[in-house]
Amino acid sequence: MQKKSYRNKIYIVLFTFFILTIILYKVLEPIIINNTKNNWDNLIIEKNNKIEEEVIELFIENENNLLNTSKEIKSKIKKSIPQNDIISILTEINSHDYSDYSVLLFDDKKNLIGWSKNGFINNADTLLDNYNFGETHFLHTDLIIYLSVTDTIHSNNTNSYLLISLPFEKDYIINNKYYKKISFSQKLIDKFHTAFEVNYSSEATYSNDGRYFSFSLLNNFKNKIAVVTFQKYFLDTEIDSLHNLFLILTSISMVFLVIILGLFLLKYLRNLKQNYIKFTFIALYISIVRIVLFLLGIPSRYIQNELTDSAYFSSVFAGGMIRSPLEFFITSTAVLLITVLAFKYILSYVDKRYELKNKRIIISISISTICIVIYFILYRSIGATINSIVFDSTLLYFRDSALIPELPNAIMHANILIIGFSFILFSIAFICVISSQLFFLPKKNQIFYFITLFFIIQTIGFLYDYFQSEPQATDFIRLTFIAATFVISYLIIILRHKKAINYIYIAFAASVITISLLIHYNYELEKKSLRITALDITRPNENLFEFLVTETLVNAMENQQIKEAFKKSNFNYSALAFKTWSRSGLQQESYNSEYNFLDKNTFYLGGFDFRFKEKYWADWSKVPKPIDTVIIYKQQLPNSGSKIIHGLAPIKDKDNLLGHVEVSILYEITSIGFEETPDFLLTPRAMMNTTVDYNDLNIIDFSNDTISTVLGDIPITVREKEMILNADFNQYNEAWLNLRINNNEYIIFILKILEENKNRVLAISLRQKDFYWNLFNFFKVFFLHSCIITLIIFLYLFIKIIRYRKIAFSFKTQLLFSFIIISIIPLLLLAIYFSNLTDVKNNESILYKLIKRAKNIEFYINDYLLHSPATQNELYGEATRDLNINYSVYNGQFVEYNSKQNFMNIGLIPSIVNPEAFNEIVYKKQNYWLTNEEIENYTYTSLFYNATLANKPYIIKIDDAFNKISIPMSQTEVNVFLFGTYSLAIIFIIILSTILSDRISLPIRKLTAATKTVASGDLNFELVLKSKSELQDLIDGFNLMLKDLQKNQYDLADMEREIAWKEMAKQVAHEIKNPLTPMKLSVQHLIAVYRDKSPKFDEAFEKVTKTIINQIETLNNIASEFSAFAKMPSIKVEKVDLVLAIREVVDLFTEEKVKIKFDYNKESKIEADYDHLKRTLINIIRNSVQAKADLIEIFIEENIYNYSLRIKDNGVGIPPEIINKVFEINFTTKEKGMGLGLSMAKKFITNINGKISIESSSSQGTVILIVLPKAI
Amino acid sequence: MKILKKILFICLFFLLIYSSLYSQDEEKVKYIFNQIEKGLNNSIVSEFSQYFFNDTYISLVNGITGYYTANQSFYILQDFLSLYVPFKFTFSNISTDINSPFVTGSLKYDYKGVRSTARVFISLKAFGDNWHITQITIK
Repeated sequence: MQKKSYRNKIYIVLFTFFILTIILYKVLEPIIINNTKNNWDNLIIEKNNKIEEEVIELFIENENNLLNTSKEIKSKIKKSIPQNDIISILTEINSHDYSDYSVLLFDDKKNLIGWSKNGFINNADTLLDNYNFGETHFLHTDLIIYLSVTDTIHSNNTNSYLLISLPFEKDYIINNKYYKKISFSQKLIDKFHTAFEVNYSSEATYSNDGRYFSFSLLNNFKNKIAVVTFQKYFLDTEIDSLHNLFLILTSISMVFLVIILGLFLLKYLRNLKQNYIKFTFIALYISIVRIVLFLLGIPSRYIQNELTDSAYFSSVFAGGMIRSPLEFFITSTAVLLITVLAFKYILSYVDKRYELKNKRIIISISISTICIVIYFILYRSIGATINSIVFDSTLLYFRDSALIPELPNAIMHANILIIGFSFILFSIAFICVISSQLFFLPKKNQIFYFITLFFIIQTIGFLYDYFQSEPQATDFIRLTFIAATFVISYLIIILRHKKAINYIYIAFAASVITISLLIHYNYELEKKSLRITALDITRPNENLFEFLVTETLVNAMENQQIKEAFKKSNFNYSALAFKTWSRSGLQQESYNSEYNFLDKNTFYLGGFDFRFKEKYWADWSKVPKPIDTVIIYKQQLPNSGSKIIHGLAPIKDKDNLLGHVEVSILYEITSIGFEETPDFLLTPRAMMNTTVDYNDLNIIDFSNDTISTVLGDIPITVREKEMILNADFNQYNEAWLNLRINNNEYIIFILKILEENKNRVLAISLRQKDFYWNLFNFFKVFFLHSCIITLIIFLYLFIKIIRYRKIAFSFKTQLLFSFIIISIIPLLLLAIYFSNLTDVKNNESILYKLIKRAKNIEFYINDYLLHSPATQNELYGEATRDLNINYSVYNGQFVEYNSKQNFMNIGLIPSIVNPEAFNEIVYKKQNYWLTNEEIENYTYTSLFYNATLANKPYIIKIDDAFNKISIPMSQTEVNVFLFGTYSLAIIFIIILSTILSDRISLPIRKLTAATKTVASGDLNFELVLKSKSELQDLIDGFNLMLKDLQKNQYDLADMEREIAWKEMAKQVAHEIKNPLTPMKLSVQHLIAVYRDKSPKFDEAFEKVTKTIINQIETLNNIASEFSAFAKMPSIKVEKVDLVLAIREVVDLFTEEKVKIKFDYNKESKIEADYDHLKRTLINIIRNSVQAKADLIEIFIEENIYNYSLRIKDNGVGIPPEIINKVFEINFTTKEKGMGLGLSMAKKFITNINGKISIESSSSQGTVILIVLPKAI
Repeated sequence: MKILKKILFICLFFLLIYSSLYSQDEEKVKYIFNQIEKGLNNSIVSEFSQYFFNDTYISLVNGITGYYTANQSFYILQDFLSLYVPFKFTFSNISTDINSPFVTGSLKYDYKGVRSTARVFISLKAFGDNWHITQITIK
């Protein structure tokens, strides 16, 4: 009680505290804002200075890392240089520790002797003299600005030169997952939330604009090497930040308030009598918490990443409370809690029905009907929910082949499981309610009617789906749903399985059903993908292209970097074109485009093209010059539907024309596949983020009923063509068709487009997946669900250990885990072995294919050198075209030819050979070297081949970044497939193990139960169990032991009876003698008086007769007491409700002048003789009444294993000196008592394994404590 | 002559009907564009969210690109405009050609204290009697 009041005080204190904090925030906010406004001028200076300090600190940190790395490398390679140990030098420089740096080593003649594989800098030898040794500086290359330091290594009278560079600022962006972000200025923007510009030049100047603040970056020699300029904070922005801060603090306080309120009210809810009221309050509370969190913007306002991004998933259902994956997770968890509670209370209602067993047919039918309706609403709802999850989401639930998906995907899978669990749980609850209406029947009939109910529900389900225009599930899913809910209901209702493991069954059932629905809707989504592909192909039009071209050119006209470039000579315009293209909408929209720089006379200076197969020159000569604004020119390519939108814009510095920028977009249907674009440069087109792999699509474009373009390898006949063109189009000019082509089923989406002067029909087709693919998809998600369920089980066990400080696994569970572990370990080892084997085989396959290509190149060039007049350099290009292989040729360290020269010109790929490969082939004389290389974060495999061309050694490099090398099955697919199918094996193992462990442990469990029964005193049974092993001997021995015990018990009972009788006879004799003595004396006195003829005879006669009558009365009482004691009936121990017994006893005293309070309502089952129990209670209450109590209170406290019953009265109490004796036989404080009542009570309670004691006693009253064990 | 007059009258009649239908469509398109302008200026997506198509193409300056359902489009734009807070939006070009109506414009916004300008392209398409937004590009 004290603990409870202490807890209440804590709640009140905390509640008050958080209320006060909210008030405080409200008060403080305007004060702080006003203060900010008034002191803004000083504050902004402080902020600016602080930002300057932090930026400089950040820069110095990078600088120190660079200088330390330089020292380290120097010390490591110092010994190798004089020995000319190139192998060691290259190995050391390319150590993993320095993978972030570009390292170049030159000898005393400035020849390159060592280099790292990352970030090669062209013409670095010419830069060595530009800077002081040991002084950090910024080094500008075409694409990246480095923070560099040059140093000398002096050893054995020679000087070597070391140039170490750390990439600091990338001047381009690639919008894909491979792009490695390196940007110091972006880091500053993200950290300080204001615009930053860093000018990496010692000649940079400060900004004159008052809105900006500039400062210099000084290097380790205190020389200026850059200027940082940032936009000063606005007062409005600062005030908004303060508002947000106070909002966050207030929100946190409000959340705590709601939690504390909940905890505070929980204790009152516990004492509520009606379950449905309790449930309503708790459900309301959970809902309020959820709504409060949503209104406060928790967590969306504070977490801004893919988990709160509506682009991944959002639905307008629930007023926005499932507008992102994380919000959905929180809402579904709240729904789960409410559903589990509802399930619990529905089951307790069902239990009550089980107890009542009344026939109430009309009510039963009404309840059943309502439950069936709700059941099918739930069935439809689960389908509708999964439908929304699939269609209102951009997540590719099956296309992502990673075993552990990315976070938004994983959260959505968890949401699917949780929401599925809730629906299934609720459905099972209603089946239980319907089934409980059958409880008035005998058990055998219950099973029969349950099965009949199952078939009735299946029939209703079939009709329900049949009459719907759009059923939410397939027949298989409906059958599974109904079967699963019925099986689990059978366990709970008919077999009375009340265990936590039921929840695990429900979880797996939910997983199977939701994944089946996901696969079903995913197929629908695949169909939608075809539609989106068609939309995406037809979406771009001239207006959009014109907009993109104009937008890009307008930005170019304002670009300072472009203006500066035109002022320089020998400038790499191709690199600049790539940089500006990468930052434009052209890259994001992934259209085939070109970005060129032209001089003042519109002659080409340099450029970059993305998927332009050839140059399409726009003739600007006819345009009158000078031009002042953007000019658009549209070009229709002959013999194809392709169009090019060209745009030209002047670049001026004030009014001075510097040059021109030209941007072009090409649109053609065959560009959809992107087969020729390397992955690291690929920006996903919108339609590529669909469920289907775009490479699996077949696209046919009809123009005026003639095939104009075909993409894919599907051959169609004339008949199929007619079917496509004459398909049944709807009002939106769309149609669907299923065709069988070459023994494969295809689904085709057809779109009719009316374009100027022609009818266009676009047919997008997809081959339908085989059954095993669906199975493959199923296990991929099932594996994830199993991991989540397993995690929850472990969490539950962990909490149990923490709570009870121990965890006991039954023999059956130990067996089960043993079987599972023994079976799964070899399975996992096998899976790992096959996974590694596939990896090895894939590598072998890639190596073989690359070597073959390299040999083909070598052969081709050598052969043509012998037989044709072409030079070696000319043959390089021809080999690329004729053999369709992209490759590089290295003469020594440097490249002599590269098929992708444009990427090298830009600086995306280095012009020097991989140092590891150079080491292996040139120094270690290997024939080839296979290694992984990286561009950005894209890893690809490269083969370096030791070739001989025209009798000279060269290195030919072939990789799978620019050559598509196909492998039978990718490593990821193998892993998923293996673990997916092994999940099925694991399920079988678990089922089999459960059955085996159950069978093996059954005799042990029965023996355990029998032992417990014997321990409780019941010897009247025999263990009947057949076993074909040593267990049968154990069972026989146990039965024998039981019989012996029984015999001994009877013998002991006989002996005890005899002793008891002897004792009683002694007691009777003793008790009878007591009144007989005064009787004898009295009669003797009377005789004496009579004989003496005394005048006092009458008086004596009166006195003697009175004495005799009293003694006879006493004898009578003795006889009654002993009679009552002797008449003790045999005890019949059974499960009884303690609360019911107390109520009946309380009712007996309603007419008496004592008030008895008893408010406990919860059913409390114990094992006792009901009549004896009542007699005991009557005895105790009678004692209280006799002790002059007018108020008796009865309390029951439920513990884990027993009930504590306290009977408290306000009587006179028991004196302390006799408290220990009250339970002894014959002890009494009453005049006419025999002292048997409490001793009999104690005997009875001890016999049923309980305890009785006087907990306290004083002049204010007595408390008797009875502890009774719970019924098993 | 009478017949000629009748023919002329019929042609004029159909021309009038066609024009009125055409101008009705034009009016609808203009109305939708006005709603879009109002919504973008005030960061109220619900001004024009009812015109979202079930597969609306959205391409935004924060990197979001793709086809989204009407539900998703609503929340994506709402979230976008709450972070990239517009303070001025104006149309630079409006085309009410009912074959492919579109607008381009300039959206000035404040993103975490940094002020920038993005160019906007929005196109509509008719599906039966209803006009829907099929593309929103904010770059």
